[in-house]
Amino acid sequence: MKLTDEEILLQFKEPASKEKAFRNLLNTYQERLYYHVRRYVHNHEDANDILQNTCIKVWNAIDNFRGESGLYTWLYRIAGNEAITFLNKNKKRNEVDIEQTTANYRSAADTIDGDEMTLKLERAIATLPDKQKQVFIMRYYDELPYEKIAEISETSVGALKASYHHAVKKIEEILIA
Amino acid sequence: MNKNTDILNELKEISPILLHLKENEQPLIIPVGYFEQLADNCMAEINTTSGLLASVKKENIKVPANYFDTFGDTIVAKIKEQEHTISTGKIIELPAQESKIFQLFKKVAFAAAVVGAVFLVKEVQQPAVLENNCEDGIACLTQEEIYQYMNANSHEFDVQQIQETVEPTLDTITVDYTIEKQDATQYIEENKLILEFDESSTDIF
Repeated sequence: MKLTDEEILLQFKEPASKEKAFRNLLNTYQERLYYHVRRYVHNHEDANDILQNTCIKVWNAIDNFRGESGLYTWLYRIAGNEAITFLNKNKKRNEVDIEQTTANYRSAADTIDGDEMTLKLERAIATLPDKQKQVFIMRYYDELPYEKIAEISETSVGALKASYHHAVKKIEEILIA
Repeated sequence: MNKNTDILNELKEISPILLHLKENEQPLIIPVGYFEQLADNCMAEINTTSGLLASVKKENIKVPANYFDTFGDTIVAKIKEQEHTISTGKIIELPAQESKIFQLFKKVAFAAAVVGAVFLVKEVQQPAVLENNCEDGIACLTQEEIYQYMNANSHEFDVQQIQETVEPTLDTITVDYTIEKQDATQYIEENKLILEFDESSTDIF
């Protein structure tokens, strides 16, 4: 049975139950966080690295979590920042990875046209500036409402809508080029 | 209309190509049992890291014997020595001629100053245009671009959302609220009837 955020945070307050709380937290949010970070990178290994780094940061910082934002919002923010940090650290390698992933797709499923577009889409997303990339991923893949994205990114809904609109248009331009 | 439909409709309006891609997206491949093991893997990593930190011995910094016992005396002695030098009027001789390095430095500094001045004049003559160039993407859009978008899609925004976007700009606008007493009196006189009416209409107690 999954616990509520309040129950998990209560468990975190007791040193004896910190590990239990951590496991409950992962049990509740790990899949959503994984799928979020997986959109930034192009293979499971990198997503796993980012997610583990995220989890370690959460473990170290949970005592300072004051509940000013929701627990999920906080986790999401850490995961997104970790993904961006990872991308910036491994910029060149990621470009090669996009090609490699598409080659893997190709051998796994014989849908060349779709794969070509997937490759182009991933390349196009990679060209977006960091925050625009985050907004695009949260809206396009994670299907979050703008209000939630605004909370996570600490940006106004108006700016987010405009940003997403620009990102989609830019990606479309690259796709049809 | 649910949230997902809203997002898909929005995407359809902006880019049918991206909607098509989204609808035909292939599922991500994840190793079997990955999520079941993730917590254990994370805990192992956390324990290793904290174990490593605990095992790192704090380096013992070696200090000469009695260093701190004599430290105060050493400093006081140095201060007194300096004071004595000043009071006895000892003059330190400056080199009569500038060294070659200093002469070369002066030439380089002069050249740099000339280049700087030319650059400054150019900048003043052609003030930099605010460019849509940035690192983070959201800030990449100028306020004007955001307004244009909001204006063209005003049906999508409620008052609060517009306020959130506009407020930062309003903060930077300074308005002169100084009203001459004479103007104020004239305004009250001219609008006396309306003002009296307003007052009575809100007087419900």
